Amino acid sequence: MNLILSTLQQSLLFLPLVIGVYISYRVLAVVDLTVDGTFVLGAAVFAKLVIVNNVDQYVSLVIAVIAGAVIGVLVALMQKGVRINSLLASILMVFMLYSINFKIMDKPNLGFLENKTILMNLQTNNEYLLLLLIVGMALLLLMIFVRLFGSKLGLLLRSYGSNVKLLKSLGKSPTLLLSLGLGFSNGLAAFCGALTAQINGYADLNMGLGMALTAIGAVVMGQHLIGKIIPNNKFNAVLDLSGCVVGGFIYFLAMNLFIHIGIDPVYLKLILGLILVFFLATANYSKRAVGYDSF
Amino acid sequence: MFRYILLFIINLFVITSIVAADLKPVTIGIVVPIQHRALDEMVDGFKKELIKDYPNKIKFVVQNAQGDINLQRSIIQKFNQDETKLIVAVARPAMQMASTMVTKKPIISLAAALYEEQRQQRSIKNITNVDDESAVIPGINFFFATVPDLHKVTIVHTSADKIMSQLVTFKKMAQEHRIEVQDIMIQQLSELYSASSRIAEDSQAVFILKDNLIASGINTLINIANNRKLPLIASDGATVESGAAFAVGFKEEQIGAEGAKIAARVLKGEDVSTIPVKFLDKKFLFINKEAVQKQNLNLNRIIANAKKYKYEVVVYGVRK
Repeated sequence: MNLILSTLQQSLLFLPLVIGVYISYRVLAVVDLTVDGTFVLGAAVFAKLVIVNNVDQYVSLVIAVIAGAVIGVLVALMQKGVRINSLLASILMVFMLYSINFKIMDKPNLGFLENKTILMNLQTNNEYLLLLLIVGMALLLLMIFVRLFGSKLGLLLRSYGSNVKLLKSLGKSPTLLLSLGLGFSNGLAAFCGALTAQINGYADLNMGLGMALTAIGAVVMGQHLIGKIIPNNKFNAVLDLSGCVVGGFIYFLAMNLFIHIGIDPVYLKLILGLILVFFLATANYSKRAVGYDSF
Repeated sequence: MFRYILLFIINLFVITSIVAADLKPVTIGIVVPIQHRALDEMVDGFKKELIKDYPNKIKFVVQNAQGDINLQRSIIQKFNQDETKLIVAVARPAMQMASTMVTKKPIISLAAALYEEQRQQRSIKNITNVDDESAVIPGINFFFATVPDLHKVTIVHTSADKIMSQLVTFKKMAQEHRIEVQDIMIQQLSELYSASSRIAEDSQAVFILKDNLIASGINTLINIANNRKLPLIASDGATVESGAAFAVGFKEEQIGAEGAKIAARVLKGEDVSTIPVKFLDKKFLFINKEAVQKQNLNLNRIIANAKKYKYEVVVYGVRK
């Protein structure tokens, strides 16, 4: 498989996490770093169920996603119920998830060496079919979320990020909407973790390191690039989610290209960080409201 | 005449091609999951030994993933796609990912806790490993036999995969010797200072396993051990060189060198699937003379015990 196809595979596998971060960061306009922990939670629950408890892989995947979503709801309750700042609540949850993930796995690393899942089988025997499966999964995910953001629920989620007062005046519960949004976001992060564990061959307690930042980077780069190509002031779910795909792809392409041309990986984080600073600066995110001008 | 010239040119072309093919260096890709001195020493040992053992030109490409799994995946992907002939995966996470992603190239893992039974259960056996865990039990035994009248010891450790299973062994052996264990676990390096202040007053020694994170902050434990005259026993030479009293273990270069011997066999055409996991047998006793004195231990007793167990002794002073 060549560089472009393998980058595509890597970025689409990462897409659920990017969409998850897009939901919290852009739609709900909250800073939620919990995905660093729920990514590992998804991998841990999936690995434990498949390797240790011999549970069916599809059932395990569903349970892993639910586990991630439940954590998302808890973070929302910490923010709204106990009134903890969103950033602090997510950092606290990541802190607590370290112990939870450890308890789930019973040890810090669970390897799939003797336990084959469908993704592992395809990776070993037919990587093009694996790519096709991942492309199909990504398309399905995009269709689901394009539909969601076009629905009444999607509209309410978006209004949480843009105008909470309007929500309250309409008699809608901001807590419920934040719980739903963060539930989706962290469920997607857990889904991504479970897929990654299969493709990488193991679930590890420290595998979530820097995932939130990488996904935020992908969202920012993607939104910026798509915004430059097709300027649009109104909310457009297709364009925004396409931005998630493009952003993830550009991030991994840059990383893979740097490695292929022989740049020492020690400098990679610095280079990618500087690229991200450039995108953040030119997108002027710090000054601009996260919501959209109009619906 | 023209025919002779043509024949000469063809011969020259064939010979040049053969020589050029022979001179083209063989590329070996080495993936290291994090920056760590012990892992660097393994890589150095591998390189030095392979250059000695394999006559042809070799190009080593060493890439460090900095603890980032996305980066680690990209590195392994690159080795899998380019002209790299052999992949060396240092430590367990790199081995796990490489063995899942790479099926058509040989992989040699170093200190990766891959056992022969696990290797045999794989449908594709394109991997073998150099094991470094066989010094753990002798190291604990030597510790219990050398520090006198032990009733209570403290073990400081992280939650790393290999460490947790070795911790179980340590506790079991301590229980057999009727030694109480104070268990202090840290998750991040920043916790080491406050964790070390929790070392019990009645603890008679501090033990650490071959724990990468603890090793990076070892000076914190060395200061406490020296101030309280508390023996600090380690499980690798580098930590002893830094200021722990003693350790039984292997030289990191030795692990790399054994991997290089396997690599030479693979490059000469041997199928990696027929090469079993290599266990190291020559153990060393690493001693730091100054630390032994500061931490109130008897140097003669340690050396006498080393002779009894037939360990080769490596003596260090405190590193400046």
